[in-house]
Amino acid sequence: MSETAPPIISVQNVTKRFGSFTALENITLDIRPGEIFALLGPSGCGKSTLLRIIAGLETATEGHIMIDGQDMAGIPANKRPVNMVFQSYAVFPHMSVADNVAYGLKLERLPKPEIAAKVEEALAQVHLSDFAHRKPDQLSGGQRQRVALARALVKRPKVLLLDEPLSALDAKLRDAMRLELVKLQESVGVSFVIVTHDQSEALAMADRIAVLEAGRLRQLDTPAGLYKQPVDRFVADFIGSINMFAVIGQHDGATQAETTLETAELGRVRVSSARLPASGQGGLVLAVRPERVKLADAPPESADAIAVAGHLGDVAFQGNSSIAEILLAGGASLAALVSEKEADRLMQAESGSPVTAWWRADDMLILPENALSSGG
Amino acid sequence: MESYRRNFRAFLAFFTPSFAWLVLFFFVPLAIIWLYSFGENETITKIRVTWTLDNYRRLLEPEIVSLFWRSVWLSVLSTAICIVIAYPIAMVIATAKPKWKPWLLLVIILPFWTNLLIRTYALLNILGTRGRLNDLLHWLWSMGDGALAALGLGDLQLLGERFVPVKFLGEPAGVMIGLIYVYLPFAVLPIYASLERLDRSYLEASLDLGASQWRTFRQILLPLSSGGINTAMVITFIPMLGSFLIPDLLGRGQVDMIANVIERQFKSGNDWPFGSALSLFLLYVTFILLALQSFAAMRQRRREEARG
Amino acid sequence: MVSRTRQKRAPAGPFDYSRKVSLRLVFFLGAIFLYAPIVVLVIFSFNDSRRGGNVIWKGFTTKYYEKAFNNDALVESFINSLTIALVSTIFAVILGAVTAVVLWRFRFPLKPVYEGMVSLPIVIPEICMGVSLAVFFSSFGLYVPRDVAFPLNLTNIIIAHITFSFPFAAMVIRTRLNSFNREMEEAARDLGASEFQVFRDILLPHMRPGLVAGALLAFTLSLDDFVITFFTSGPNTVTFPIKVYSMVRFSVTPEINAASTILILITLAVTFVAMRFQSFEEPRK
Repeated sequence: MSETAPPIISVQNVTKRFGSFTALENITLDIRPGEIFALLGPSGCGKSTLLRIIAGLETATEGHIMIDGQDMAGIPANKRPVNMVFQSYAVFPHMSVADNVAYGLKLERLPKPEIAAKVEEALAQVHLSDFAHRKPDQLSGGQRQRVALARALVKRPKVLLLDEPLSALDAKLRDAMRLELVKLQESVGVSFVIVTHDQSEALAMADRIAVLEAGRLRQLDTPAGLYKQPVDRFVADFIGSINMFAVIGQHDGATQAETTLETAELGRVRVSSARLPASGQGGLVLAVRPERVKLADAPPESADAIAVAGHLGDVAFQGNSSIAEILLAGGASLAALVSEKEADRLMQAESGSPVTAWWRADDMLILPENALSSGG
Repeated sequence: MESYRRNFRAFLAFFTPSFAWLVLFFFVPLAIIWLYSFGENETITKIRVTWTLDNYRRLLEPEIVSLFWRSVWLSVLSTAICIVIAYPIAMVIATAKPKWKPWLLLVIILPFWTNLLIRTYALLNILGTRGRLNDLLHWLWSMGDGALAALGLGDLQLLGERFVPVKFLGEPAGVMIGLIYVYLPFAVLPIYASLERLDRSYLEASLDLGASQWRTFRQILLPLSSGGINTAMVITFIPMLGSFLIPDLLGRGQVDMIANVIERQFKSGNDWPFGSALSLFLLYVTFILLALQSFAAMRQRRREEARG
Repeated sequence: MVSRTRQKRAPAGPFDYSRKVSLRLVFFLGAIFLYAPIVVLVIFSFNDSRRGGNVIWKGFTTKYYEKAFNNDALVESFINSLTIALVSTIFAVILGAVTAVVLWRFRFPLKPVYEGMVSLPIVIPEICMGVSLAVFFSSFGLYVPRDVAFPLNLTNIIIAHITFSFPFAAMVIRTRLNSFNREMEEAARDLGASEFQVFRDILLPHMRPGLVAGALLAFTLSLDDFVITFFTSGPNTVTFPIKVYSMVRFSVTPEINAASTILILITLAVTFVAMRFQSFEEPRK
């Protein structure tokens, strides 16, 4: 992966409208050579549409797609140097596994021995060598996906496009396949663009993630960047779990460098003015990840701690850790990630017993409702 | 679903009426003509079942063989043309906007709800030498002739000196037009259903792998809709083969098909045993075709089930 | 984020066959092929020409409709056809419904055989069925006496029509039954309903659209039938298609066009009712 090399795919100001519905609005992003790039967002956010525009299966209403420096305008799907793994895999049911993989090569009019060799190699790569003569109906879902992968990769695409590659698999196979896809990408070296609605999938696999919502690009960053520095409430909420408190009042602090934010749950909170988001629309929210929330019997002395008193609610066991629910005044609640040992202690405590939740002010995010400066 | 034994009386109450009706008014009549097909005419209306095979032997007479042959090729050719016309029509309906689909389907199905006799009669009026179809051909001829004249080729009389009306009635062409006209909707529906079910991503995958539109049509769309095509062929071919009214009215006794000869044995010829043998022969052919079709459909279904 | 700006139509996707001009043309020509003969037939029913009425346009008249309405034999055949259709539809729906329920509800030995038996009348050539019924009625001495009162004189034809139309009704009703949620039945039983009450209160209301669709199908099939009726009708029991057939064989006149047009209108009306029914019964999404 290289950050300085020219992008392998460049999406420039792409807008897609279906009638009066805008599926994608002015999307600009680059995909670097050799990276796994995830398009993440809730269903209907336009991520699949963008993938299909890159593949040439849909036409953008406005904007350009450049692949390896070449403008793709007017170039049909069958002439583009990218290949796709479909959500349903679309493994041709009337052809054997080997014929499926060979299909794209036959269209290139390669000599037969060369096709055979390439097919064999591709099938070995996805561990399907023994299944070459099977029909797709004799394969499991996971095996069919491998056929789809081999069929696309054997064309040596500049970028492999994967539309929800893991959504049709069961939970256990999904985890195994995540790892395998990453390994496969490392061995073939081409960029993968993965469309997914599953944030954990994107976080686990991708080098960089573009978060889309309602046809607009909300944030593009590394998984760690998205998690630690979400740009707005939507991204924070979508990536991982987070406690959020709406800001209902904003006052000048004691000094210029300080601002006081008021929330219903936490009361007044003093924050450094420098941490207020520079742009964005809608109100502000204060947000803190559950793993940053600590529990104590009394508020800590520390000056930069933010504390809130509440009562202990349910404790949900999650294996090596647990989520404790803290009931706050006014019906709100707060989630705190607690260790196994602490969970045991909390389980013994009586439900409803008073408890104080606190976190360091630096661990708290101050986010705008929507980082985009104007709504569509 | 529950076992019939669990509630035997309810089962009997539902089962008996339709079963009895079918046996009495469907299978007994078929059994009678089956018996008669081994019989001989004693008097004009009295038939004795002598287990003779003469009636079946007569099926091999050249006259009857050529009748079969004519019926088969007329039906095969008409079926083929039906499929060729029906496929693009089904493609259009299957990919139309959802709000248009029911209307486009209605356009195709509505004629099929109209009385067969009336539709055949309507064609009868159009196909005459002075009918509207010949008017249309005449117009096309004069357009073509005019165009040739404009090109300076008028003197060559490439299209003939003057328009000669085409004779359709009493000719195989007329009967075929009738068969296609009547059974075209039959062919559209199963093809439409199979295209409608088809996952579009197969086509997209083919395109994505570098295939052209035409190649995708030939190698992916056509094979994957073969189930619908098979069904369409069978459900148009079977009624075509047994059709009576179309060859009767449009063939004017010149282009008989099997059913016309069967009818004559019963209505005027009074040779019931031979008519029965002919009917049963037609029935057996139908059964064989249906068996082949359901075998193919079963294989297809099993494949689809395995696919999940 | 929905913007309200109306854009020019999106370009057709690679598989939007419905937007390919060549394919649209085939659809259009196919539709013309299917409708032109009928349209010509209707137009010429108003042609003021006695002989060769379908060849040369001689001016507008409605006198052939008048003539058709005053043709007693034609009107009688029409009443016969409607009577046969009505009576056979009632029986066909009842038989079809019980058949559908048996096939849907019970597991029993040789069920596939029974299923095949029921679908046979749908698939066998009409001529075979017509011939076998003709032989059956005559050789079993089941000939209805000539002077028997209307509508009993139509018994043979009605029996024949029930036989070929009830399997169609059964098919339609069974499709409807397949969408029945068995838990509804179990819930009703759990709430204290007896077997019969479950049938009456839960299953029958669910079947209703299927029954209506089956009835409309049986009605049209009966009204439509020529071949089987041709073999089971006697000289005194002439149906509309049989009458039209004999008129056509005798000579082609605008009167036949007029009578045909009336039947086409009835068919259109039945189809329209059927569609209205379906859109009523199917919940709008």
